[in-house]
This record gives sequence, structure tokens and C-alpha cells, in this order.
Amino acid sequence: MGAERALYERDRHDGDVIAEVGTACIFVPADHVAVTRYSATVNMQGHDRVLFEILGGAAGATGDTIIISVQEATAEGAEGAVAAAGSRALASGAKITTLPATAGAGFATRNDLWLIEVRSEEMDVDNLFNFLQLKVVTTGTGWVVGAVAQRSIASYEPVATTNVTEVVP
Amino acid sequence: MERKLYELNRFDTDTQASLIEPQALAAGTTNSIWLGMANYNKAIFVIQGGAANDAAATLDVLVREAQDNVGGGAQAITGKAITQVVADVGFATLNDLWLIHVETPEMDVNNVYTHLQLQVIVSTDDTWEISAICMRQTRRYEPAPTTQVTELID
Repeated sequence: MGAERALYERDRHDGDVIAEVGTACIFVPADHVAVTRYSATVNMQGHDRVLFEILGGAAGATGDTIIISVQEATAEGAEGAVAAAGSRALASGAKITTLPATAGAGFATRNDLWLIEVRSEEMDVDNLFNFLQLKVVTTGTGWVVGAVAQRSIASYEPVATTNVTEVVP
Repeated sequence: MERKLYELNRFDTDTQASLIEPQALAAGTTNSIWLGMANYNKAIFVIQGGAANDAAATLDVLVREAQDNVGGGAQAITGKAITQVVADVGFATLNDLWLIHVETPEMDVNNVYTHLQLQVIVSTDDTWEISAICMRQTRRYEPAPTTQVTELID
């Protein structure tokens, strides 16, 4: 019987090669001041689920806010201020954190972990939306944020019946 | 129904959300809180590295074990450390992801080592943007199934 696989073999934790540059973290830990910023995209072809793990550290002031959502796109894109081509909120339904998360009195010592899971069947695969990325919107004086995407190898087709007339289970 | 990824493993710590929340770690040693492994058989530390302040800055990251959640008998686990990283000329735009995998048979279970900790060391007078989580897989097997068994015939 073969050895049980390691956790890092079962799922993928790094990003993709985008514009010939390998991407480790899809959203590098840094202090983001009143900005809308997009993570690097992850290609969901070959994967059926992804868990976005967004880590939050200190904010800058009591009233600072953060909103994190998942977008689907038709092309790859690097982390930055510009969304990937075709990037939009998931057509199947928003994947978004409670709006808005306010830093509050403990803003300087915040420790947050947001988990957002998306299945490939929630993506508009029929229209070639094969990529996902995070959209992070911060207001105020800043919020330290980083993120990792954990992708699970596909066990099933995302849309198994695209061209099938009828399925009788 | 197939379980979600966040149901398969535990992503938060025993007492807080992220293991090390994103921050510019100051020079010196930063120790995470201790994570209990009694109900888990694997853990993977996912460490993100952003910008450093200087090309000469160095970073060491390792996993330690202890006999309780306050660090009793703390010791490093052999082989569970990344190769020391030097920030180098691209220090302001670094993007790194380190994974350190630990299975309970690799812990000193016979001497009741039950907790894990991540230790991060930043070189003197330097800073490094770091964050980390630890994903723990629920236990399916005994960590050291033959501790008191005279002989195992497989």
C-alpha cells in the first residue's frame, strides 16, 4: 500500500505563472491604504474547489473598513490595482465578506482570518470564466492583509452536462 | 455530500485566527502561539513573505515542539526549518511562500510532545513582512501506534 500523501501534495497552495513570472502568494502581505486591489488570478482548470485564506493584521484607525470578495475572469492577471480581463463578481451569487468589517477599538492588534470557498460549478465555465481572483477594498488609513489560495484537484467536471441533451441518473 | 475544504482541516489556531497575522516583523525572534496536535495527525505551516527593508536582511523559519501549550520542554524538530533566506536586491518586491509539513510520527510523541510552534527570526536592524497560518488535518491514525507493543508483524 502506498504512503499517505502529504498535505502539500494533495492541494496546491501557490499561484500560477503569470506573464512568465511565477507567483507564490496571490496577495503579498503588506499594508494597504484606502485602495482597491486585486490578487493574482488562479486558474481553476484542473481544480474543482478553491479555498481563499485571507489573513488580516492591524488596521490604521478605528473607522477603517475592509471588504473582500471573489471575482471570476476570462484571463490571467497579476496582483495589482487593475482587475484581470473580464473580471466580475460571480454570476452564480456573490462570495463576499460581511459588509463592511470595521476595525474598531482594537484596530492596532487585529488578527483576522477570512475563509472563502468557491466550487468550479459556481463559475460561469460555459462562457470561459476559468480564473478567480480576490478583490480587496480598504478605506481609511490602511489594513495589513495577505492571502493564499488553496486549490483542490478536480474529481469531477465543473459542468458535466454542457452539451448533453439529458442526464438520467 | 462532499465536505468543504474548510471542513476537511482546521485553519485557525486554538485561541486566535491567524497563527501570525500579517505585519512587518521586527528584528529578532517571533514565536507563534502553541498549537495542540492531540487530535490531529498532520499539520502544514503556510508562511507568506513580502517585502524586507534591506538587501542584506535574512530570515529563518522553523517549527518547534513542546509538551504543553506554554512551551514546556520546547525543542526544535530536526529537519523542519527552511533554508535561511537572504532578501537580496529584490528586497522591496519579494513574494515568497514557504510550506513546512509536520506529521505526528515526526514529533517526540513518546516523551509527550503534543504542541507545535512556528518560530521566525529576522536579522538585526531589519524588518520583513510576514504572515502565517497552520492547517491541521484531523487525526485518523495513532501518532506512534507501537509505543508499548513488543513487536509488530505486518
